[in-house]
Amino acid sequence: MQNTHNEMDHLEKFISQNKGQFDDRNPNPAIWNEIESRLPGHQARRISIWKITSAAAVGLVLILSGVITGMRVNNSQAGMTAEYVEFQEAKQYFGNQLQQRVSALSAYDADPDVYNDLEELQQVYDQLTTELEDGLAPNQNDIIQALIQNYQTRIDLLERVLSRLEGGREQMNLTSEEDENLKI
Amino acid sequence: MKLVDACKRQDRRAQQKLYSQYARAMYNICLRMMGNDADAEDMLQNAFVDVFLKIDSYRGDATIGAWIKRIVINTCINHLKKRRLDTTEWDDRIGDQPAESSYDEQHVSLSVDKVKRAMSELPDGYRTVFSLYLIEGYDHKEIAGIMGVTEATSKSQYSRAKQKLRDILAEYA
Repeated sequence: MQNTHNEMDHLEKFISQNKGQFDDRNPNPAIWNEIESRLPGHQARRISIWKITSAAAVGLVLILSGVITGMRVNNSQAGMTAEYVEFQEAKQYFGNQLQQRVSALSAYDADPDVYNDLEELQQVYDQLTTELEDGLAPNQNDIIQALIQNYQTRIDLLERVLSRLEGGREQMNLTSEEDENLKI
Repeated sequence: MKLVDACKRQDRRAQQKLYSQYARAMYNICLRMMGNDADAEDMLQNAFVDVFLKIDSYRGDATIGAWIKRIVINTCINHLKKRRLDTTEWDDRIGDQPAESSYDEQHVSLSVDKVKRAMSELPDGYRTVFSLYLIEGYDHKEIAGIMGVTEATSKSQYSRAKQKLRDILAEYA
């Protein structure tokens, strides 16, 4: 037993001298995505920054539309609530945000499921819009809230997918660097 | 170290870079500890999630590689212990040397592939101690700490593992 420290036998010597060759397997590249999906941080922070920005934008729209409604309070049509006007403005903002991400996604060969999900959400959105225009729903605000939620869900979905796709591309670029840094 | 500092800020690019630098070496350690790909992949994933969650506690008293390696090994050992590796049953009688086998050093030609294959045939309790000592480079005192056994147990377990490996290699010849 004592000989294990000082005198290495043939087998031990062979393994010690060829240590480097024992590290010959590469991990599955998908493992990084699994790790990333379990980490707090960057992605979540980006969304929260985005939420703050959008909240600020909505706030600005609120003030502006308040002013506008105040100006035309006399000629406001029936069913045209302040929230409705406010939503028309917010729609433009969210529509732009969504469009930007959809065009960014088109640069990648994204999973068709992503497009299916977006399509489904769009259908829900269209249905809600019809209900809103009908003016028959007892509470228009609920519909407006659901419409905004629908935009946010789509934007969040796109953010997640894009951040993953961008991550994958970055990982590929790193491989040459990785080879140089293998030795610990 | 800039990369580590960026990881402490949960910078996703930095995390990915650090992972890329060590993923291969750590994956091979996981493979040696676990003995199969599926478990090795799970352990690599769990260990790196741990690395990024705990990176604030890295104080720079070891290299970042050594620190990550220790987390990887602990993750593997904890998993093996939970599942089936029972170190309490290990025989730590000192001087209880295994019998000499028919393994003849002069006449067995070794290759890395052969040794790797033979190592994968070792029971978990042998393979882990053998790898930690001879390939990962820990001494018996450190292995005792990692495995939660005495230093004497680590030594006798290593000695048995080596003998078993010789027997397996002799069968290949």
